[in-house]
Amino acid sequence: MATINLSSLQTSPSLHFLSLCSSQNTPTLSFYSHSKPFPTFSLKPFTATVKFKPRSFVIPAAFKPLAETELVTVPLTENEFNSKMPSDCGIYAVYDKNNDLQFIGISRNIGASVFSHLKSVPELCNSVKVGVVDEPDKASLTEAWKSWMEEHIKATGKVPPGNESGNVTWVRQPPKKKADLRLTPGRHVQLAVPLEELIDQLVKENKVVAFIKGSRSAPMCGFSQRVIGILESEGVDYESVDVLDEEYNSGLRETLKKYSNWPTFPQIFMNGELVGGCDILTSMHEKAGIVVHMFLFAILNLTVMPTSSSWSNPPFLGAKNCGMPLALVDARIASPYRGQLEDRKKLDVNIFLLVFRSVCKTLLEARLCSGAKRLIHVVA
Amino acid sequence: MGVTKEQVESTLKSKLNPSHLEVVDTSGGCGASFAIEIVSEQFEGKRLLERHRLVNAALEEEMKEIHALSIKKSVTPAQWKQQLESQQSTSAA
Repeated sequence: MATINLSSLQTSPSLHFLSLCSSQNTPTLSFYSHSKPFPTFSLKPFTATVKFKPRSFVIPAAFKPLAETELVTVPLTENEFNSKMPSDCGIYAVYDKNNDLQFIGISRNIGASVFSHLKSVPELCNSVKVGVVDEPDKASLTEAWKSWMEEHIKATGKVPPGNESGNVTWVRQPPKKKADLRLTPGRHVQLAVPLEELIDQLVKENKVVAFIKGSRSAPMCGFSQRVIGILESEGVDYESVDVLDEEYNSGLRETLKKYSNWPTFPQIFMNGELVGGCDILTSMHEKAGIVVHMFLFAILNLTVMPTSSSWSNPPFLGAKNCGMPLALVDARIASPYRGQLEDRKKLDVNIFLLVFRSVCKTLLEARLCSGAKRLIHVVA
Repeated sequence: MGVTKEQVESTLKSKLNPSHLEVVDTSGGCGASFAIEIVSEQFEGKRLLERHRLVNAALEEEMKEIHALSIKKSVTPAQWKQQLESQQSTSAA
């Protein structure tokens, strides 16, 4: 357990900046307090530090026992979070509405960790105690964590529910990667239908399909890797097919090139249509985001591609180049989208509205869609 | 064997009549990888996918040898002019 001389640390707050106390066995731990006023002691040589490190605005003090640490209500907005929660390494204890301790965690960025808890289990995150650990190495962090755990167990005889083994509420699970789709049951199995039909089925049954070289977890070509990176970064729910898999996708490369009339890989299909290769996907990503395009399809039944206008005008899309008259676009949005929204349970309405508004704004700015102003009004 | 930069250039010139063309051999010598910037009137009224298809089709023979073709830009002369102007105005500002 870390041994800390409380009195000496508290009487000389500048220790926090000087980090005088940093032997390996006695980690410098400082505590965050928001209610105490800004230190009035002279800190001239360190004012620069204070400016650059927002964390220095709070009084540095010793890392205190759990019971003596102030309970802070978890802020709800991101701005408040940035100002109230330290982004330092340390330990934190999360309390629910009844002030029952739920979880004690270690983090490299306390603020970010608490924020992610707030997002995943808001009902359990009412308030929080934080203890910043200066010059944190793994050992001192673990020691700090242990001291709080031991204190809590001693006081209540219980392990915080979130820290019980097998409880996965608080620990982020690594996102499960989907398996790559296989087109055929195996090389030696005679296909009942031509490969081309299997491709056709596949791209029409799945919203987004990426034909890549290598698997999605280990792409074997830089372009495929970039495509996967873009789709993952936007959180797109997509299927992937490894065109190099000779066992289960034998003959796919040549057949797909003919099917799509596109000579290279990767190839990305959305809603059954070829969107393009890496260059085009990158362009879509940079101009608007794949998700926006997908939303547009969901609402307008419209596949929007980066067009001529996307190159000359900063905004991205040309509804006029989609082969659909603007009036029709207008009419389609005007009535059925709300119903469609409610049908799509998976669609987060708020996110959708946010995206949709920005799409309309972009359309308006690009003067591509005169009805956009009205649409914003409808959506708002 | 691979393809040379000159081959790619001459094919694109003859088939797409570009007003601006830049071909960069990104293969490091083996001739299997190119990056292209092309400005052509033939792109007028076509969306990006179709433009890329035009380039791919023009290079059909070469594509057999080329492993990676990155089309950085495929724009119309009018767009090209606009892009140059906006570049100039930003650099001047």
